[in-house]
Amino acid sequence: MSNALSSSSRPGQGEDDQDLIKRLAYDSDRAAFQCLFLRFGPRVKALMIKSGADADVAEDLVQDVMITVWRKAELYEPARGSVAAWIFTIARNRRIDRLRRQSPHAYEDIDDLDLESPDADGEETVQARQRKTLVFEAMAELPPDQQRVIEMSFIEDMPQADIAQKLGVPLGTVKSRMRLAYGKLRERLEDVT
Amino acid sequence: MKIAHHPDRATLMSYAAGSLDEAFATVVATHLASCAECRSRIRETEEIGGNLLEAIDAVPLDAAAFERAMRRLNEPVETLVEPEQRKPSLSRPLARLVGGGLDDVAWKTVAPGVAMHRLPTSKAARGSLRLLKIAPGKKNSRTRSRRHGDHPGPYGILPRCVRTVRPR
Repeated sequence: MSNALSSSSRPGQGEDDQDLIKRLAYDSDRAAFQCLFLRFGPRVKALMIKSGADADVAEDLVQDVMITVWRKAELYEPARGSVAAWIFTIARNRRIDRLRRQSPHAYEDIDDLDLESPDADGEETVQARQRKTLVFEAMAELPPDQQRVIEMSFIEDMPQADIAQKLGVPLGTVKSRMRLAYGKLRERLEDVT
Repeated sequence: MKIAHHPDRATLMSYAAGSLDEAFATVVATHLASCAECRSRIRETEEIGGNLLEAIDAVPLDAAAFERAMRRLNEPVETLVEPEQRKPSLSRPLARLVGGGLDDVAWKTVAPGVAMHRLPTSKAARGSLRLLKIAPGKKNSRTRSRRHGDHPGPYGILPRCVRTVRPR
């Protein structure tokens, strides 16, 4: 299994994920759910631990996140983005709720907005799939200081002010690193679309 | 209202990451609810999260984790029935917090032409959230109206967060 897992971190696996989600949505296929569970569960657990959860809480959150994946599979809209990004958002919202004890409504309201508009044609779906790979490439090219800031905010759940404090740089520097990273990403996506 | 101001790129990044404080996240969400362009930027930015999630060093799950999840699949699901209260003037993040409609808000006048209403946030939120009602032609000096544009009226309704620094 470790082989399957490490090879799955390559970009381009998104098609398989989308097939799995489809099988979940249309056939309530438990084998497909198991594949997704084994692929994403351990990663969601790692994410929660890096966000400050202990192992037991992280394990509970994996349950919540994966059950949500099962229940919401039919709402997943490929035009919105990759399955990995979708699962990240579910994990992010659970993290806000459980680890930070704040309301995730501000996120859920917006997440649902796009789920409600299935205006995707085939072309859009392909673009969305390609988007993940392009973002991957753009991220790989970022200087380490920008990568670090992104990782601290997406994975370690740190507000900008905390990142600044931990890195010993002014808040403005954190913001500008984020803006630069964002700019790089946009550049890459605009080249293609 | 025509949107003259979009959130800063760093703010969009932090929103996608989920690392904004609740009050600030609500302000951003209110913008996103009515700005398809920023919403699609957010979707792109969330791909960063997707890629990082895939690249993370996985931590093995408890041996019984999958069976535990399978048992839960059969549990009945509680679904929240939301009252349909989406008045055209209020986006969903705000409608939820305001309760009824804008007519029901207990506005408190804080300056000529400016009324305020405090919105609820979780206990753990670091900043507080206020809704401002600004008469046409009034400038919202605290948020630099130049960036937000003048409010074409009848009234500008703006959610604003006031950040208080408290140790986490």
